Amino acid sequence: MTDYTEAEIDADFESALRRGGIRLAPERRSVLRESYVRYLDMVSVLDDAQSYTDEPALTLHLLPTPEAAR
Amino acid sequence: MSTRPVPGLAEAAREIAAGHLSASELVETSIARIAALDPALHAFIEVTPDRARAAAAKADAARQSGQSTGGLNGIPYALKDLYDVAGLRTTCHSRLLLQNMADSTSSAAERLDGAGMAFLGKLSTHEFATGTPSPELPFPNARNPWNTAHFAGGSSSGSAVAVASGMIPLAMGTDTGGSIRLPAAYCGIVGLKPTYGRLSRHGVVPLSFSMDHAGPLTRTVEDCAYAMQVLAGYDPRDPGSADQLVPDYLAELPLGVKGLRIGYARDFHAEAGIGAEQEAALDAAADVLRELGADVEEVTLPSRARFDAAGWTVIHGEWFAVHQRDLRHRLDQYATPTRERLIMGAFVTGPDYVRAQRLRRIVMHEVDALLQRYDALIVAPITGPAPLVADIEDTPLRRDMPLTVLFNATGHPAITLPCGFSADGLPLSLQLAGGWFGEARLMRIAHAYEQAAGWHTRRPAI
Repeated sequence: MTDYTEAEIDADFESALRRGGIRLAPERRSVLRESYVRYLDMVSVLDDAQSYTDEPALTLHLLPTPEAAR
Repeated sequence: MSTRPVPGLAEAAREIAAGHLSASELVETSIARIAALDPALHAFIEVTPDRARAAAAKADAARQSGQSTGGLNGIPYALKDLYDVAGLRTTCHSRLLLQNMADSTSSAAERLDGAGMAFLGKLSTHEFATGTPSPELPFPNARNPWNTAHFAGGSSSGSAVAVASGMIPLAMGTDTGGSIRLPAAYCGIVGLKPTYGRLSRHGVVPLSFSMDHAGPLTRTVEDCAYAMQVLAGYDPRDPGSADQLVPDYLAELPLGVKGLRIGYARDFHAEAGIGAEQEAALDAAADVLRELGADVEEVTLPSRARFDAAGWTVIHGEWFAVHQRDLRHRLDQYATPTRERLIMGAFVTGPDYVRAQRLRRIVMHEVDALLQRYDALIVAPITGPAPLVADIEDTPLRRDMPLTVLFNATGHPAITLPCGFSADGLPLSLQLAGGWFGEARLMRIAHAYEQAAGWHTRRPAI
């Protein structure tokens, strides 16, 4: 599941449509937003660093964050 | 005029070669069948009888004069309306392209015409090879000939319906997430998504550059091999085309499966929500292959969450790249389901797309590692028989994403063929996937199963 707040989802949803130049009919906004939340769930797999075990870049993911290092 | 179904491609070729049937007779049978059935089934957007009659007459004249002609000379075929044919519209079943006249011909049509085949028209699709059936579209949606209340699948819906109903022996489709294999599965025929790069996509309207494949839909696996012999090959006009030798597909077809190793992704069923009838049909198909001498073992695929994320993120990002300008300026001309599915691509960020391509490469090698150990994989293509049209989900991001996208993401060839029928008399389907450029081995296995199981002999009662 995604860990975005509702406000973050709203903001990202609106900005993606604006950036894409898409004018959405008001009555279809909630249907698209619901699908957008499911899209975020689908792509959450892509955020898993363990998905990329053959990539040298993985080493960057394995380093502790500055916060954790402290 | 007879309205009997046309024979399959291989049978037609044999009948014509033996002098039992002329190409002109075959084309007239096809035209009469279309006239009788298409008002209810809506497979065709445009029928081109004059072109087909001319090609058939030319083929017959060549045979009568003793000229050596190819096996498919004069046999009719049709194209999903994403393929260009010079002088005809390519509409993609969309209001946006109703005036889109093609000024050149797609490679696939060139190859089929070059083999002397008789082009008989353009076939309906889901708008731009996505979307769902919708009353907002400029042409009716194709209907499943087994039961017109049920979904024909998509997006090569007209292609599957035309072949399944015996209107034509060969139709071309396209497959970005399963659009050849799904309608073939729901309509009880054979659909092949070849290896990425095996068939040229030149002159085919794109949906997703990384995932689009062109391929044939036929009645039998042998028919598919006949078609592939003509269609496969390098084409520099398609940047994804692969310069690989084309084997003799028909030569390997009768060799059987004795001693071959087949992996059965049975534990995938729970994750994919495979229904009881479809699961039982796949189990029975695995048993048939065992009885034929194959060594069938259960294997585990990459998780569905991984290949869905890899495949669908890339597809959404790429189709938005294709359609963004028209979504900005001609949004209202798309049917609502198409428009909203395409808009979902606006949410794919650059990092999403890059990560999806990275994950795709990893999934590709995981599946390929399996295919180094097995000659083919059995993977469910559908969860069950065709749903009612009224029950089709038309949300912008589907909850039931097609399972078939795995092999679009990996580029491996995959074929669907009938493996039984539901209690309601609707087709169930087996999907076999093979190694890259291994279509000959794949069709050999599929042919052996098909001939032993015999499901291909059933036809819809129309």
